[in-house]
Amino acid sequence: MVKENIARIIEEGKEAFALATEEMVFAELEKKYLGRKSDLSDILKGLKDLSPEEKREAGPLANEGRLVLERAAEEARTRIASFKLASEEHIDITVPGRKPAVGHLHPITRLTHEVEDIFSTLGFSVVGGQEVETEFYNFDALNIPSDHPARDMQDTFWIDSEGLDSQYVLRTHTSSVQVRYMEAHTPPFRIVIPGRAFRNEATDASHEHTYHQFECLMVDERGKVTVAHFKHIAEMFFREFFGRDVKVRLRPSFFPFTEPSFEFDISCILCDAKGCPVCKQSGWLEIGGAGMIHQKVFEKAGYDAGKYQGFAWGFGLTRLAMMKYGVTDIRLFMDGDIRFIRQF
Amino acid sequence: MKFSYNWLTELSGTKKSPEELAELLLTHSFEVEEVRPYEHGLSGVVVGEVVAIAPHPNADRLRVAQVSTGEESRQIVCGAPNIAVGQKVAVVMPGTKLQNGMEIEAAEIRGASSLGMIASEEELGIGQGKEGIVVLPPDSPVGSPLATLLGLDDVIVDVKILPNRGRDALSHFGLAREISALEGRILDLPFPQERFSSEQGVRDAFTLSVEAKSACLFYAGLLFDLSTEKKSISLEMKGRMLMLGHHSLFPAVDLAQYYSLLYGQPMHVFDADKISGRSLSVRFAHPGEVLTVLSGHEITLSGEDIVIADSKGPIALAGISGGKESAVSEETKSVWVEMANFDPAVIRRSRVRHGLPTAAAYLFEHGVDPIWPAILPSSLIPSFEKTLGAQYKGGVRYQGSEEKEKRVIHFSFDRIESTLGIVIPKEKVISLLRGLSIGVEMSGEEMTLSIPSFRSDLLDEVDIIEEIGRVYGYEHISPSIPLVPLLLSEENKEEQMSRVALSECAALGFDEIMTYSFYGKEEREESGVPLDEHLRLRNPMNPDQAYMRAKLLPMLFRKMRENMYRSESLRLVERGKVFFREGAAPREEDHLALALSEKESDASEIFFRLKGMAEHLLEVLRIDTEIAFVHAKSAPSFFHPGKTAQVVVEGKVIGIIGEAHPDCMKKFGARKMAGAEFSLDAIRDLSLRPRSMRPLPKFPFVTRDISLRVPEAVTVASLEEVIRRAGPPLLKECVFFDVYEKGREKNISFRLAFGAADRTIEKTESDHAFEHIVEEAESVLGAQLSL
Repeated sequence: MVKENIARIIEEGKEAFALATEEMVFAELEKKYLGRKSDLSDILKGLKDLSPEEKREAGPLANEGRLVLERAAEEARTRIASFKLASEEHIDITVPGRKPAVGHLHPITRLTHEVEDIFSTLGFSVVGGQEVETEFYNFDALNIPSDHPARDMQDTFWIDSEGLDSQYVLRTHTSSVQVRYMEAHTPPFRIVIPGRAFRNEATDASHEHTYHQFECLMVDERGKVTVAHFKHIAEMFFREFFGRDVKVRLRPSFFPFTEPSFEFDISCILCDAKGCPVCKQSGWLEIGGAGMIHQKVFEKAGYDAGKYQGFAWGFGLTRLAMMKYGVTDIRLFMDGDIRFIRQF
Repeated sequence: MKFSYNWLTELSGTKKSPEELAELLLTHSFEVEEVRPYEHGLSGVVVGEVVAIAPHPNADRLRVAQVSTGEESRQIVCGAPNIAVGQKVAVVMPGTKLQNGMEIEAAEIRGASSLGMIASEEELGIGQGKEGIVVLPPDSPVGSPLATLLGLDDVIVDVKILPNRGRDALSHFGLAREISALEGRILDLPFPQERFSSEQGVRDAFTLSVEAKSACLFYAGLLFDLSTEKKSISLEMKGRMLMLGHHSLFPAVDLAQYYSLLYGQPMHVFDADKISGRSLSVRFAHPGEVLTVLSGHEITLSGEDIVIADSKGPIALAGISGGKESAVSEETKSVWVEMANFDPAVIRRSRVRHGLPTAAAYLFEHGVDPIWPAILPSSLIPSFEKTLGAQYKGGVRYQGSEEKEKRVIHFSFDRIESTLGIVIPKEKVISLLRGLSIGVEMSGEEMTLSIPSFRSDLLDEVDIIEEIGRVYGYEHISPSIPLVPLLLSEENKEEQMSRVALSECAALGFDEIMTYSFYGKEEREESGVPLDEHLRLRNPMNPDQAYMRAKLLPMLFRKMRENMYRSESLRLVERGKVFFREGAAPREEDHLALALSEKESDASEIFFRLKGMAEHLLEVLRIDTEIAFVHAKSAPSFFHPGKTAQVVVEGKVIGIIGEAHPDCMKKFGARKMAGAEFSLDAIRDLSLRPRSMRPLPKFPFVTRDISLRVPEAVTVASLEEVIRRAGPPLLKECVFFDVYEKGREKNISFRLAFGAADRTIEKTESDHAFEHIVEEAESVLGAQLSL
């Protein structure tokens, strides 16, 4: 009888604690099952009246039952306390968070970093240069003769050089760094030169007088760097940059500082070279110019004639950015409108 | 340059379609900008024969013609005085809209029905003749479209000839020669290359003296008598010139022009009877001489222009434009045809100086083959005689420096592989070079090449490699991996630091913008950098971009204003070069500028908000030496004079920070803002302390706050300095936490920590140190402990 009673009390108690949700009810239950005057206490108190066998059986059973009930009570207490806290101090967790302001890097900066990182993994050094450059490094050192049309006022920004030690221009290309670098270094070298370049032309949706370029140079002894190598590096670069296979096409061109000279196109990344408005249905995108560095340039740098060989290529980062992000008005890059910048 | 597809195929013998031809040129020679069928606007114009003419019943000046257009005959009212029975004429059928906008319909003209129009050259847009109707050659087939007769069913191919290929490719013959070479054929001149000499023919020409020897390399002049018979060039020739943008003028001028399009040698035709004194000189102009050119403009010559002059003065601006006075006209009876060779640079400068971008100037600037004046007369003279019925009366020839021997280039076969990175079979190389009219002699691996005069761009071995590469096809070069020494790339500290700085600015909520490297007078004045330290552009786009920026902030503040209405909170950063004039040389510095503006509630704190961010940024850049903020003596004018500080580290000014001037704020709208600008170069040059670990304290510190009342003028920094001086050895830390002003005094509070490295200090010890600090602050700054 006693055994059955104990078991029943434990079952009832466990269930009652599990269902308890309010402090008041809990207090009642605690009194009822675990208090001095609880049924279990009564049984324990009544043990002395039982037979030795019954005592032996019911004693441990009742003590064990008490432990079970205490655990159940503890669980209920925690649950009720937490429920109470939640209902008293409740917030609308769907209210938007207080976000620290997020700043945005300029898309040109982002791409510059990307391009630099790709070239760095290929062992190219990133080299800086001057934006205000002497006429010599911008033109003469690159074998551009003094009567070349590019030197006209309408193509080049000239610095008022009165009282200065030389004629200065705003560099019309990052190629102006070539001979400066060569004067201070001996091949082999691999470098990239990112930066601003300037052309004196009126601005509209597709023309800017200030634009960002990349120049890439790789020079070694004669015969060690060929056009085939250039093609490989160009393809590798664009594959990494666009994250897909890209074909490079070289076309004949003319630059005074390279020979042979190329225009280089890449297969259109927007239409997979199938033809679209961006590539004017040709399947190719015109990206930049390249060529094997002219021996006259090496000579200007003071290198021995015929000793070295290498390629130079330059491409417009602004143009790549327009392509990559679908920007249709080039002026947005230098306009400083946060509605544009905050998209990147 | 625009080319006629038909003409090119006729000369080169290519079988390619216009598109295929464009592709061939694009990959091997030149960019093709456009391929488009020529729009002649002459559909609906056919050849008709005038069968009968009757007077108009109601108008004296009109006549009624019966014109056969093949199957049928139609009545057309015509007012032209030159109409005659038996003529072949151009009939515009009803329903046709001509290029000049005129729409032809069947109509009643003063009571007589007229089914079409008999047109003049001008009405058809094929010439300038408007006095009378076009009279077509007698053998023109009646009923056939006029466009076919003029050869206008053609395609225009616009080719961008590379600047170094002007000499050989800026002509139809030249480009046809290139096309033939690409297809493996050699195109020779269609006339014998006999040297023209003055003795040839009748010697009835003018005397010639060339004084400008440095600028005139060659001159040939031919005298023709046109008085006996007057014939025009063929319709097809007219059509071709029309398509390429040249309107027919006078037969002799037309023919010279046609030759120029064909061979690339510009020519000028003078009315020989208007050349005074029967003598010509080629000389530099006398400064101030005046010439009215063909377009009617009067130009004042400079001493650097070369002119053709007669005994009275200049009659042409050499190589660019003829003079109006000596121009050919209807009355011209004899002409002087000039073909010469002038220095490209001289022509270019004259063209730019006088703003005369003529077709001749274009050709000369790109370099014309000097061989033409020597050999072209042997084709031109018979052509003038045959086509125009002219009589050759003699010529003169001047040749400057001796023509160079055929240029020879020695070429080693293995250079192809070592430059291009591909192997091309020797036989292929030889046939390819021969195709380019280059003479080849082999001896082992060495070749001796003789270069024709028209390829002035081929000067040495590498030029030959380029020729081989492009004609063979760059598409045959397969990418290959270079084998290079494994070298560490050089560290670029500038770049690394700017990356860290920009990323941190972005993390602090700054949006990065880029602005131009130049600004205007207003920004220049705001910058606080004196005018004579600014670099100025000689040819700015506009006055607002006349100076190289010496500070980033003026433009950044401008952009703040432009963006103000776009966002409640604005944080802008720009990193870029600024420029100074330092003595006789320009100097560039890498700068970083920040600007901040927030909602009204935060405005009183704006300076300290930005200062905190700047300090944060400097700490991220690992500047851990003491950074001092001192009042700026000369601040840019857009800063508040009382709220501007120079940022000084190790005695060097590395930047400036301040709140915008109230006037500046008014200009920018009501919101307060602050700005800062740092020289990244200066920061980079700061000595970075090598870091090593300091042992952690073993014994606890006692912390105690101190609040001192000081006169208003005392700064937090000066009070802190006194505390730090008075505190040792037990004072370990002193951290500012509050300041408030009350009347003419202010209360400044710090949290102090006392301790020792070898023991836990007693309370009496820290009390003593604290009291000492208070005493010092009182005696040095008049501070009182506030309670």
